[in-house]
Amino acid sequence: MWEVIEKNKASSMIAFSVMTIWYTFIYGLICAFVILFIIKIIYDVNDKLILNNYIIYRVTLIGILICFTIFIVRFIQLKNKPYKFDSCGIYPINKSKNSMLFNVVEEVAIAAGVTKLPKIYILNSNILNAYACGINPDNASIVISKALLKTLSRDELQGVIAHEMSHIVNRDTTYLLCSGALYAISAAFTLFFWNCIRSRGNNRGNAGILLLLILSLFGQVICFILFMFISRKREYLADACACQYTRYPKGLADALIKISSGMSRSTTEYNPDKLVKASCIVPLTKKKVKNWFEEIKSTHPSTQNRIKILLNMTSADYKEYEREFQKLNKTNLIPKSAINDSETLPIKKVIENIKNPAIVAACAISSKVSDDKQVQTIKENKEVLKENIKKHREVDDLVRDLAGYTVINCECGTKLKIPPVYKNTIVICPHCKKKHVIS
Amino acid sequence: MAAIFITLGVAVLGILLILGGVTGNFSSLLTSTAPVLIGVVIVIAATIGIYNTLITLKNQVKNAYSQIKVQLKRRHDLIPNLIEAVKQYMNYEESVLQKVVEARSLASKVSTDAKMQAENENNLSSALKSLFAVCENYPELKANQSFLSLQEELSSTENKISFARQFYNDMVMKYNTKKEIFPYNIISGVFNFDNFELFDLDDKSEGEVVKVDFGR
Repeated sequence: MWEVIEKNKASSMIAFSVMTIWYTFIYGLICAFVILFIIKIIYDVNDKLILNNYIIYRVTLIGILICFTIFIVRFIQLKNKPYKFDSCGIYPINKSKNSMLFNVVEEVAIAAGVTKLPKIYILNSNILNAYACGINPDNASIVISKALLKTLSRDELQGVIAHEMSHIVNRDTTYLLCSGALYAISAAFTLFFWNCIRSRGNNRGNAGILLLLILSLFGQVICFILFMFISRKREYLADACACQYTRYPKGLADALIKISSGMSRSTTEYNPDKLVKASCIVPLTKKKVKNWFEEIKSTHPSTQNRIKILLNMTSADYKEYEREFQKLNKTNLIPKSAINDSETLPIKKVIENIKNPAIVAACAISSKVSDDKQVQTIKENKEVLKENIKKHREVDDLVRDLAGYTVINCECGTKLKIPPVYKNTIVICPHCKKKHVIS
Repeated sequence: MAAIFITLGVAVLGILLILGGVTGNFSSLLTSTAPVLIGVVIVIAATIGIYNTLITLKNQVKNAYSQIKVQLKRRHDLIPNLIEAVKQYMNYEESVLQKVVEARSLASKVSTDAKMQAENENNLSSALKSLFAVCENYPELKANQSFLSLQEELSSTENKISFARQFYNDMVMKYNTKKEIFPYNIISGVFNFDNFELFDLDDKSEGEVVKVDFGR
């Protein structure tokens, strides 16, 4: 089971490596072109002298090195950017005031095997959302909004916290940071070339830069698609991990239902960092992701799909999540080698709509005792009741007979009992409306 | 892993240099002795790596087991406060209170028999459940802040105990399965790594009938 996390990290690494290779290829070429162009201008050499293999290979290598340097610089820049926890109304929790939240986070930390508890913050806002940040599990924090804390029940809160905790354990922030840095650099390149063309006006040498711009734009689009793909995959993995930790997929499903309906109705706006937006539990927009085209552009999968998968699960392990995911999306989420050995984990039994787990447990045990007896009593009573009704009817018929009632048997099964006072010759059955003649 | 390779690599280089210096013939070293030494080094490094992984997993299991004990002890320590808070309101529920106190003293005794210990803990759980069920009938008690916070702490501790058990079972599964995969089963056979037992005692006690008096 725990190998699944490692194996899934490996499969996300493949997507990430594809992105890196693509980035290196395209932007390495672009840098190489730029360098060749500069050399040509500075040294005023003939084209033929430059375009031989020796120079092209070495210049491309230099281009690739430059790209990597830019990437590492940007990555370190983004990593060291401090999260603005004092502004935007985010404040750390008071253990005594929010004891339930603190206890829930501790419980999920035990289930996930996290040794150091992440710091917990509350966002003072009306939106219903939560996110997790932190490069490594030792320095992580979870932020949850005040309104969400009020609306969720304990099981749902556990599901949401488990989802965030799995983001921390799987190092999703690091992944998104790396991919985001690549995408940002590609966007910067495109912008640079676009500005070059705009500032140069209608000069002759624009053709080369236009080519570079188109190449860079193409690279940026692919980087964008890959970034969104990685982000969506990590969200699904976080859902699967949350089920694994809490053994109760319905809790997370109910929470997602509440959050998605609340987000579509919310009026307040919240605009954090792009990276934070990607690691929220539900996208921060009011629009719902409905079709394939919109889903490619968003950092989160469609919430309806996530809820469907969670509600259809019959056991709480990765195999079951994978099965439901394939039914819906017809692609693989978790590599097969990782889930073949995992066992079936049963969903824990929870009685809903009651707040205190101890009371719930007591009710469950006591109701088990009286249930059987109750059922037996009801069965016995039914028998007695039938007997009584039968006897009552017999007595009734006898009395009517003595009083001079006529009895007509209608074909629909109704016995029509006609009193002697009735003077008409025809009587209509109230059930089947058939006419009978009184003799 | 890296440290192992570095030390072994340095050792190989050292051995090669010494041998070469002693015999005076460096070229034959490169063709015959060096590959053999490198092969031996790879096998040793792999063995060390596998052994270390198994030891790490084993320690994780032991850690998970001690985590269960930590949560159980926390529950033992919380119960006297609960009894104090409840006593003043529930004068007529002596039997229930008595049961909880007895179960707690039995469970907090240190004993070597793990099964007996687990059974005592389960008895304590069921005694607590009946206590909380009876507390529902006392509205003044339910409005008392200290009782409410204690109730929250105790139910959270119950959840933590069940999660700690779940985590322990997960770790045991991981360790037992890993031990049986091909490269690992050789090493675990050589060094005699034992299987751990899963924590299964939960299921038997759920079937027991606990008498709860809802009559009032």
